[in-house]
Amino acid sequence: MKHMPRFSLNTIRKRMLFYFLMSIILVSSVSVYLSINSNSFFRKIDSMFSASILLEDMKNYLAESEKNLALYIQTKDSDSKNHYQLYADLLNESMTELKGTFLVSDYYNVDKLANLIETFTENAEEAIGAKQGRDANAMRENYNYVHQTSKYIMEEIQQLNLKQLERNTEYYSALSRNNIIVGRANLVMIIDIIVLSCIIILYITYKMTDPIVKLSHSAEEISKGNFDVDEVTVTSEDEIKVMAEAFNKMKSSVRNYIKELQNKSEIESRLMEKEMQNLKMQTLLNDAQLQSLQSQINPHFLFNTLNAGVQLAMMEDADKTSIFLENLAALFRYNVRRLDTAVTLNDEINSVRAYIDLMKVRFGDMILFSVEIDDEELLQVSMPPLILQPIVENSCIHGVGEKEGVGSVSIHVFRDKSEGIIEVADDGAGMDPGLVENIFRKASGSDMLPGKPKKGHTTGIGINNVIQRLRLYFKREDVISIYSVKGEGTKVVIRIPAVGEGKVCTSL
Amino acid sequence: MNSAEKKLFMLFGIKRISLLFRGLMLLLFLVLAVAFAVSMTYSMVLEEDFYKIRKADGSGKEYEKNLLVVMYQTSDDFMQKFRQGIYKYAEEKHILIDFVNVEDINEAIDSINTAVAAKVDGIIAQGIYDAEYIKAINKAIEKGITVEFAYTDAMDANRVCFVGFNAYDYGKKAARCAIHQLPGMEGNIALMLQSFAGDEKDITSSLFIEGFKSITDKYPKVKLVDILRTSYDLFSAEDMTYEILSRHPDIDAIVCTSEKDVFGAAQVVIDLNRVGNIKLIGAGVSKDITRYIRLGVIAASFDMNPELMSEKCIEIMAGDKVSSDYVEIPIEIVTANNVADYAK
Repeated sequence: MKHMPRFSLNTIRKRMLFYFLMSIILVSSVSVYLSINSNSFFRKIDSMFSASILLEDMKNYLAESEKNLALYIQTKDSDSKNHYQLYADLLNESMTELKGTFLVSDYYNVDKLANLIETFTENAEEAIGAKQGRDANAMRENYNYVHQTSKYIMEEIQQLNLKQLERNTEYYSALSRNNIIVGRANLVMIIDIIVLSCIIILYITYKMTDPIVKLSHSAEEISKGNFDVDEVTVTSEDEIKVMAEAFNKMKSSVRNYIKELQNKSEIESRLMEKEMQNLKMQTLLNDAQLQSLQSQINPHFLFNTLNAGVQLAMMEDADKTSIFLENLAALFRYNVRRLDTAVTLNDEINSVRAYIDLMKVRFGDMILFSVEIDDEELLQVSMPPLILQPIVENSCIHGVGEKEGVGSVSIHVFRDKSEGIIEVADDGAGMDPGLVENIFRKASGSDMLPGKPKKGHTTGIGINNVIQRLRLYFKREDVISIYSVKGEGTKVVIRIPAVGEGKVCTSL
Repeated sequence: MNSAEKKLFMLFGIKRISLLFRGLMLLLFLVLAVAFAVSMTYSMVLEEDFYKIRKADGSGKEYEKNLLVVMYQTSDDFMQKFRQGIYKYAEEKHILIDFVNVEDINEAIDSINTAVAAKVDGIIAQGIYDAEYIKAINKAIEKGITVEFAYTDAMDANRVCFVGFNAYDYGKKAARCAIHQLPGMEGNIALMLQSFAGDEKDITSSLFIEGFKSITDKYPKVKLVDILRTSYDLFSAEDMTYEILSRHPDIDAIVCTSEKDVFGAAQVVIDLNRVGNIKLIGAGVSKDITRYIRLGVIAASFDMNPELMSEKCIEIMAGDKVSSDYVEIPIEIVTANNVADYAK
């Protein structure tokens, strides 16, 4: 079966047209009905009196026709006859009209009046005939009969008028009774149609503007940058739905686009960070290198000279001097190596040992050194070079060096769970907590420029540089901790990954 | 949307508001429809009614015959029942009735003359002997109008038939009833007859007296002391009763032939405190009469059967039964014994 094309309000224009037309048609229909209703009421009132008016006319026609008949019979005046004829015709016409309009009560017969008028006319004609035939007796008899009939007609009309009045009164009271009800019903209709139209308009306005309002709210939110607004749902099948769907699609695509942009910028910033780190490392390395270069006058000349000194000491059998010079040479060699190459903890320990031996010569028994390795495996863990030596140097110079009497510096390497611990402890002068904090603040600061090289007793690399390089190498902030109590000593703890987890001899 | 609307929508929820709107619209549509229906119905009911009447009379041809009924009667109860009967049976036979209850003979004559001029098909009239009246009746008959007498008959009129009670029999029945009411079947009786004409021309009255006498003559101890004729005057019966009582203070029974007469006589009997002492025989079974019968003021009355009379009148006029020119309507006596059947 073929489907009939269904009328649907699928566009705003159609819908607006439909609802507004519907409201207008409703209001107009009610107005038209009310107008017809009131007209019909007046028509009824009119019809009530039309018969009475007609009866009054008939009375006049009857009187006139009888008067003219009498005049004709007396004078034989043809004008009178014509007048009689005219009024008699009018009387008959009125009678015909009356039959159609008369409102009568039950059992009343308008034919009675019609028959009376017919008798009147018949007798009048006969009287005229008798007059023309000069039959005086017949004329008189007929005229008398006409006169009598006219009387009866008058009485009948009177009676009809009375009946009509009776009927009209009855009809009017019924009409009034009904009219009260009709009037009330009409009032209800008027009020109802006003309220109904208002509600239709309110409802339609709300129904059509609600999705637009929703859309505008969402658009406002999105313009503020909030993409987490709910999807705009529109139930109607019109342009607004199309708009809402397009809006929803647009929203999600914009959101996706922004997400992509965000991801990209995140990656970029991460790259930037990485670059910054590299730059930092490079700066620190440069700094350390500069420091070491500054202390490096002419390594070959110094080594050759030191080797000559070793040979001289051997020749003179000065063993202690020979060992001292060897240690010095080893330390120099270690210090002038490339700083961007990682070393093992073993290398660092050996370098520190050489340094300690040198220090022992310098300080004699004023400083007690001890190195304790609990786990030999840890010695293979790679780390940046020149880390332990500056720390031990600080312990000797600032810790024990500033203390009166004998001091001790100990290095303890052990495993704590998954990580290796390098502890450098001294019982020297110690530091204020503020000073420790200051060290770490400086190390975390953005000041990457190499500090002023220290002159005097040190090899030149500062603790800041050590901390920063350790953090960059192991990529953790808590790689180094300093515990110090003023007057009691300082303990520097370095946490490195155990072998296998950390980097082993890789380039920095 | 303003803030108030917003609040409203927030408060009730959009779906509920939408539902509320729809419900309200539906309700208003229903109210509109009902108001329209009521307005329409009440406008149309009258319209319909109005046009129905117009059609029935406007066409003027829904009846087969047109009759004039002229009655010269003052008994309300009889007249009411007779009129109702006439209308009822006439409607069944599609006869249009013009019912006239006249108060004097000239009015009756005028009505008949008008009916003749109005070319009615028939006239049902009371037979009254009056020269002019009879002339008018005969003129109507000459014009080919069927004339039928009802209730009372009259001489010299060429009426097609008479429908009414047998006056002679009525007289006999009334006499027997009166005599039986008299203790020891002896006493003086007076007759009070309603009459329109002289005694010699009023057939109905004459026959009634004849019948009455035929019985009283058989009872030597019963004496018909007086015969009086009442007019249509409302107080005529009372005056006549006083006259009888003044002429014959020892009167034992008064026989009346109309409802109005017996009612007037009863008032006098009550006034003079002679209830039970004077036996009243009346006519008609109106509420007042039956009440007086129950109270013993009136000894007996006669039901003149107005419904049957009206039915017969119409039957004959409709052309169903014209076999006889005399149709007798039976009359029934109503006493304290059977008054309950009539007092409905």
